[in-house]
Amino acid sequence: MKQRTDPITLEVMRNGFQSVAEEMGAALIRAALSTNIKDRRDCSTAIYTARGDLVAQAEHIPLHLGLMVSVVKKTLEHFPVEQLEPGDAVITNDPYISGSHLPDICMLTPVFAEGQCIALLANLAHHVDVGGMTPGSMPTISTEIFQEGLRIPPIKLRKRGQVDDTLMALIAHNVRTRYETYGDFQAQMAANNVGERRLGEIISKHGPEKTRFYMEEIINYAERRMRSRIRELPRGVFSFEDFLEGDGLSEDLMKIAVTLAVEEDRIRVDFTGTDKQARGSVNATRAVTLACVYFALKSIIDPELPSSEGSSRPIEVVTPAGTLVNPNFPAPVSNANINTSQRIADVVLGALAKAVPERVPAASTGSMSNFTIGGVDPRTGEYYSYVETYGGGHGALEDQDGMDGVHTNMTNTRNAPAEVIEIAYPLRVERYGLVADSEGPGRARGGTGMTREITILDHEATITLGTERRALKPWGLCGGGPGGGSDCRIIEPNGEEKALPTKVTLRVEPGTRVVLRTAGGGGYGPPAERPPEKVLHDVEQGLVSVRRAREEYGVAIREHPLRIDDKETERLRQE
Amino acid sequence: MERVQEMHRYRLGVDTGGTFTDLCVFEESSGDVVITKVPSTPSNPSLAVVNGIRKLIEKEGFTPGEIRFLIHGTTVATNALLEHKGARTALLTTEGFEDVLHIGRQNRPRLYDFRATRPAPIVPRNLRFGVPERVLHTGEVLRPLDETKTRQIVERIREQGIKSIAVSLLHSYANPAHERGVASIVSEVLPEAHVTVSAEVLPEFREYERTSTVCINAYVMPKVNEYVADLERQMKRMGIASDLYIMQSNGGVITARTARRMSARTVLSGPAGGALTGAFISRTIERPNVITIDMGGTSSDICLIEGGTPRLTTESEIGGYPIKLPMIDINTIGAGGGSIARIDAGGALRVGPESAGADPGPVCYGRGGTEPTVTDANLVLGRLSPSGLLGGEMPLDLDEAARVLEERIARPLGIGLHEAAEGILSVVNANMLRGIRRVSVERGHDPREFILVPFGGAGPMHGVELARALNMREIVVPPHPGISSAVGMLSADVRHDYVQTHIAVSRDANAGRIQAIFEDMEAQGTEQLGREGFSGPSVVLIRSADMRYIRQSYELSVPVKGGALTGNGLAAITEDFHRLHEKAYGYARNTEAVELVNLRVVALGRLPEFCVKKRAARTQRALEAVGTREVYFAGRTVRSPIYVRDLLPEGVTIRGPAIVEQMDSTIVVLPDYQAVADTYGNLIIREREKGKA
Repeated sequence: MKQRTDPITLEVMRNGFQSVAEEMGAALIRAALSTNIKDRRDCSTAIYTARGDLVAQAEHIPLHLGLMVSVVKKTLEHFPVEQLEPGDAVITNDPYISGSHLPDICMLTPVFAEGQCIALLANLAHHVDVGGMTPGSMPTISTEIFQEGLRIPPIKLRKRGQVDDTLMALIAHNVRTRYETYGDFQAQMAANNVGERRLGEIISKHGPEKTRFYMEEIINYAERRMRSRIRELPRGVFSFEDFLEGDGLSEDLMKIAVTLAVEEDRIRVDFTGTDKQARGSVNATRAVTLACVYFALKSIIDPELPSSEGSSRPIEVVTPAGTLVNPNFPAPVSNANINTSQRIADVVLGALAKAVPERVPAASTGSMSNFTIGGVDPRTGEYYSYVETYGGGHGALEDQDGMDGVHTNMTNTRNAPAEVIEIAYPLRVERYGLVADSEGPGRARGGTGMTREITILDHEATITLGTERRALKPWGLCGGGPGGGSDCRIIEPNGEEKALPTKVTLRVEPGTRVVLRTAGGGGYGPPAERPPEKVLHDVEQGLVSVRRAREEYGVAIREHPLRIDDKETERLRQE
Repeated sequence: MERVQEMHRYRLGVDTGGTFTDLCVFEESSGDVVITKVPSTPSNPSLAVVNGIRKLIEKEGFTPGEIRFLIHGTTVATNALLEHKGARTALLTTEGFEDVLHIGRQNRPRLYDFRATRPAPIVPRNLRFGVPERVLHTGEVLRPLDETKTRQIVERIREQGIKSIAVSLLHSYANPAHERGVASIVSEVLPEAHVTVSAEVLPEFREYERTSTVCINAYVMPKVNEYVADLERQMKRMGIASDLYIMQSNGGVITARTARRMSARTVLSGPAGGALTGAFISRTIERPNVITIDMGGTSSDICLIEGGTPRLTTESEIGGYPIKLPMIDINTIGAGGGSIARIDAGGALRVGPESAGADPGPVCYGRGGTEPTVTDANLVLGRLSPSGLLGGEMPLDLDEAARVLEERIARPLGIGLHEAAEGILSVVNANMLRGIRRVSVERGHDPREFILVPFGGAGPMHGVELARALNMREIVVPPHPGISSAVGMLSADVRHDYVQTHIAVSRDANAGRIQAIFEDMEAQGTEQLGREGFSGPSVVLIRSADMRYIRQSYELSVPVKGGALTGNGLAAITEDFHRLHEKAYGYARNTEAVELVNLRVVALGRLPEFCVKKRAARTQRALEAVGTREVYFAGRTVRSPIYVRDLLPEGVTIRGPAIVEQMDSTIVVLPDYQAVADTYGNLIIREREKGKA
């Protein structure tokens, strides 16, 4: 029977499926044990057709956009739907299948009605540990994936409603945090159970046929909408390239290149020209690359578009095998999410800026700036691990300054308050603030980077840094200048100051102070076109110095009280 | 009966809204409630308050001296914050942490929208000053307060002509001595300034949220002060003897005097009143579990009430600024009568979040609205009367609404006019359903165990369909759905919330120390209520503790019994925590250590109970429809009776389909449903039992 699409039912059903995905997400976050899921919400939940096409998704971080589109299809390649039975739950964490890094474990369950598989439900959750050479399973010095933790191929953790205890025991035996791991698996099963129940309500109300039909129609709807938005873009071929500053083992620059071809109602994104895969763990699997592409396109083309298979159909992504954006097994991948993902988003945005410069911001801080301190807490004698990612400056838009000190592009996790850090860890926060003169100058200025200074109290500790954008600063657009670069240094107890590389793991003495600065965002448009009152305002706010106002913006500012010297400004700007 | 009571028998609720100021007067001996609306006067909201009181007094023939309580919901603090029109405020904070207010939690408001930015910090960077000092989380002083430098800073602030100052230093919840030191320097150098000190407003850890709360208080305080003082003067001039009470966001009221100091507590003044209507209905008709939906022109406020009490949260944000004070947990969604319907690029029918608001408003208002809205759809379907709103004061243009709906929606979709209008309702209802599921299902509550209380001008038109979709069995429409906030306020008590961060593992915690903290907060509450005229049994103190498993970053609130706290008492609280955790999250870790994080005391000053008396048995009138109208339901037109709410006899059943009209709202009773007015004037709507004629 051929059904006719009713635009009203379509919207009502879409709300219904979205509700199911959100309720699964809420259940997962509520029931999970590990902080990655509970507090940082590093998890996603989604509904798929029986073929594995994404229908609706509740994602909490943009990185999961592309992961959820690809993970289920990839899993089905290894584990066809015909082999699934009611009550089964398939798990996998293999980056060469799931796309993410090993700590992200995906769980897939089928939904049956009238003896047929109608839909699939999946969730992806960042577990606290999956074994490997370092706690947390994200080593910066791994050279092959085997060092990064336990690899789980697609297997049934639950068969016809019965959890496989042997398998569970094997996994638990290989991780550092068996209690959390067990709890998180329970939470993942609970989330899909919620989804199965709710989807069951929709199926029993509308019947399996109509439900299936509207799942397909929601995907078609997203595709139509995406295509119609792509038609609004100028056609053409737009290229861009940018570099990563080292892979954790060397400081060599590594290129990521992209060419965007905007045709009638589709876009081809081709990463040919990108450097070969790295020895270190900065390789981005194809799915991570897809996530960055989808993020950039969605943000520029249609931010409100609900995520589904349809929104990705008009987009063809070419990722040559054996490169930074699609490494060959067994290349290490654990740290691609932190820095490489940000650079891939940057190059796609950079290419888009050539097509629609009025919609694209200049480069943002360009790294998640991962900082870890680990050691034995002298107050309790127990091992601790402080892990945080730091925001920086957002790139300016044509007519809008970038935000200061904020998480950008592929992440959006919250910071740890200084008061919480000092209660929980043997650390003291000495300073937390914005970095003056780190904004990319422009008609609209970039956001400023930020700084955190932490002293390690009464114990030796190991620190790990994963940063970027030190020498190659976040670029400006249309005449805007680059944001200020990042910087990491330590001040030893004897007062000696030492600069650190962008990515490093090292042992430090009690009383060492670590000083971290993140990059600012790029500016947009010539700085000489920035209205002098706005420059004066930034000077009053202490974000731009009097000297920088003069040198970068051509605005002369007199002090006591601060005011613009109009004549001198005119002269400077005429030069 | 005593003469005093005779003299002061009126209780008055006044709620300032964007378009109208709603008033409600309750006569204590008869239990009668009378309402009125006057146009709001945004430039000086107190004018509308005074006009409204005059109008009510004329209408009801009582004297100002007979008003016993005057409770007011004000938007002065809300608007100052949302419109960035508060006082220029300076912040004194720990040196090195001046930008905490600017960075916030370092997250951006929207994942995919580069144009969505955080609001500008409430105190600009050049007015945030670092004070040389440092206290540790243990309360120890690492670096003594440099009083000389602090004095110099305050002198600079004085030169800038600043009148409101916020003080928030690191770890001040553990040791407020430095904050006090700073405050006393401020009061010496700048005696006329308003000062807000974090240890007084919110002695709770997490510096950003605390500092934000303190700055918001300082920012809105001068405006609230001015407004409240002005209103009090005008009340006195009118001869009103009652103290002025202000509605707080937590569902309690405070005296005007307290509101002038703790102004941030009033930011959700109006919506809190609405939630109280739900709580009040819950008590009077003995249904402990209620979900309220207040549907206005641009948005809907949804609130869950469990066990007769609205859920509170300390995670609220207003205009992007976090306020860590307890507030009624209200989920606001962009769906209202003015929500605009359109066909998007993918060919789906979308409704909202864009809204035509009150001005120009829906097409049918005839004020220049050109895009079809939910209200237009309700009119086209015959659910709204074409003779207009507000009892006919505001006529509606049916033809124009139909023309625009036909042109913008029906024709492009190739469907009929009524089908298109009904489609708009289906879509907006789907949005509201998601909103209701978020406060219920996603937090572990089953909507089937709740009744739905719809109000606001538009709520009762949608209530039955929402309830049906959620399998909720009962819909209760309050007597005056269009002014529910003003009515709800009449049932509020005076309320003060106290908090003190005290982090300790429960099994090692010092019960004596905790007892002392509770007693100290209780003493503050009792003293505060004493100043406001409460003593003896009218003072109620309620303890609770925020607890969590070690390393979790979310806490659960656990009730704590009053009286002496012992080690056994602590063990009992810990047990309760495990139980609550199991209930809230589906699991408990009974062997895991539990941390106390914050200790809280709620101090209530009970006002005489607000109970609408059951209506005296009236002479039974027969049920009479005032007319009929063609109304479109589920694909077909049905000639439906129209009833006037005020004329509905108590206890007589109306069969749906039916429309019930009243001055401030319209109620739609679907086919297969029936409605009956109860003795309190509520309209109770339920599905008709199958098989019954």
